[in-house]
Amino acid sequence: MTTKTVVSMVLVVLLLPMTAAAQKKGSIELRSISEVEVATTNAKGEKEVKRVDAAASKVIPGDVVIFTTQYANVDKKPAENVVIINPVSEHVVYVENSAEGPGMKIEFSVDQGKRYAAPDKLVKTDAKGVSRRAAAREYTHIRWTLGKPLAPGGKGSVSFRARVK
Amino acid sequence: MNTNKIYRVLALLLVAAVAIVAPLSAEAAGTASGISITNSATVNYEVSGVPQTAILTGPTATFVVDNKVNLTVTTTNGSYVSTAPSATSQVLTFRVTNNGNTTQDYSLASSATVTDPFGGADNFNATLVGVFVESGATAGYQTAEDTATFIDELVSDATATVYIVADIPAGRATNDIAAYALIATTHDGGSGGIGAATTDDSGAGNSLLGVDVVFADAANGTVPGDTQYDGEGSDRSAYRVTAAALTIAKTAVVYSDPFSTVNPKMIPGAVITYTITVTNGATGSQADNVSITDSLAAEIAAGRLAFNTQFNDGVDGCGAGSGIVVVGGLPTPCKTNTNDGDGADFGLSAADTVTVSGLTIPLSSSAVIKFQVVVQ
Repeated sequence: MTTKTVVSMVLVVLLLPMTAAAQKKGSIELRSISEVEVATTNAKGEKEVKRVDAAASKVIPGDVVIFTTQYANVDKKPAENVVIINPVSEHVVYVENSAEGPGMKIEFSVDQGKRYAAPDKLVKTDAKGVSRRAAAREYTHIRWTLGKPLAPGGKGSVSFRARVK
Repeated sequence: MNTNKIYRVLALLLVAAVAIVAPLSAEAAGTASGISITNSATVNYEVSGVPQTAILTGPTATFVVDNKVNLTVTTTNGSYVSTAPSATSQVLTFRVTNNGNTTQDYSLASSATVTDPFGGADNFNATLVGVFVESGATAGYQTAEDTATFIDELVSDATATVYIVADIPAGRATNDIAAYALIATTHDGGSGGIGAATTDDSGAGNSLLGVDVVFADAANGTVPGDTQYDGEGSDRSAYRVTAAALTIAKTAVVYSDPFSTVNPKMIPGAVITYTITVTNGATGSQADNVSITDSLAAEIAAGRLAFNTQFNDGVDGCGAGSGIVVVGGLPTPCKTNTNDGDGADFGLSAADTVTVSGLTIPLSSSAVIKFQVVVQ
């Protein structure tokens, strides 16, 4: 990384909150849900997998939790360049190929959100400069980018699965 | 491939190996119970080409990591623990590991109702069976140090060493086997002494922000009662007896007659040296507390022999009142005829009988007992 890029990145980080602070109240609402899948048997004796609120379930290390973020445009104008970023908790590990988001480009970061890329382009470089492809368990952030404007009243959801460490 | 490339490949392989090993060892038991995991997202967007304030998730999703109860018990005995009849404080060794995500206590019990884990047939039970936890002061079972009978405050991923300690009954033969299981049961940590037995909340409702208990331990089909998800862990080990293989030989040599010690003849007044040799074989175990008795009662009653109260065979000459010599197994050769605690007597432990007791005979060693009689 050259000195120039470092400087420009620092600038971006510093500027973003300032420009953001200048704006008015938001027109997109976000809601996060964490769920676990529970196998049950229904009245007909058939096996079913139901999703239940993780907070209302017993969750122990090794369990997989589904994190869902619901989004909705509650304004009267379309929202453009909608980008949802979800950090992966330090206590969980992203389950490979589990991120979903209809109509969205999904990218990942292994450096706390500094850079995002598709899984096959994500690289980890060690102190000696040796690079290798990053593993799913190293993902720190997930980014969904909506390819088209979100119309007023438009909504959707993105999700991923993670295993509790 | 040039050297540089080879190095890079090697480095890559090393990185891969380290990456796989490190998380497993660091997080085997997992996230500690009671930790809250929160998820929230941020959205950035523009309206009419103008960047808007980034929006953070309204309600965040939060849940609490519950208590995963999991443990393993494994013996460190690769095969039978070799023991001997009448051996005391014989030790089977186990390791109890907390694979859960919460500090726990463990109660400990032994069970004799298990089969031999090493393929033989269990055919006896030991006595005075106790279970003790290694204190860490001195490696290996120490009677004085390792006195705790439960495991206190075993943190996640930690291991405690536990001993089953027992005595072996007298009279067990070589290849007799006593199998035992160690059973550890999960108790609540945190209190002084052993906490209450931990109960599984799996069937009960979930406390929203509290820590629930989920039993996640495996069953051990070889130990009765250790079922899946019961908070118990167990493993088996076994004692196998190797008895000492003692052989005994007795010789009689005329030492002197009243007229000569050269070519002495068996005539009245002749002194005969009896030599009893007790030999332990090369295999088996050391023989402790060996007793030898040789009765002269019939010969004395018939008036044929008298016990020589002062031993002298030209090799060992004893003082007056010492008629028994013991070489090997006891410290000094000459023994008094009285029952005075030197391990040998004549006619006191049993009438007209030479009695020697308390002999220790290691493998491939012998003890020799000599005494003399006078022909009447």
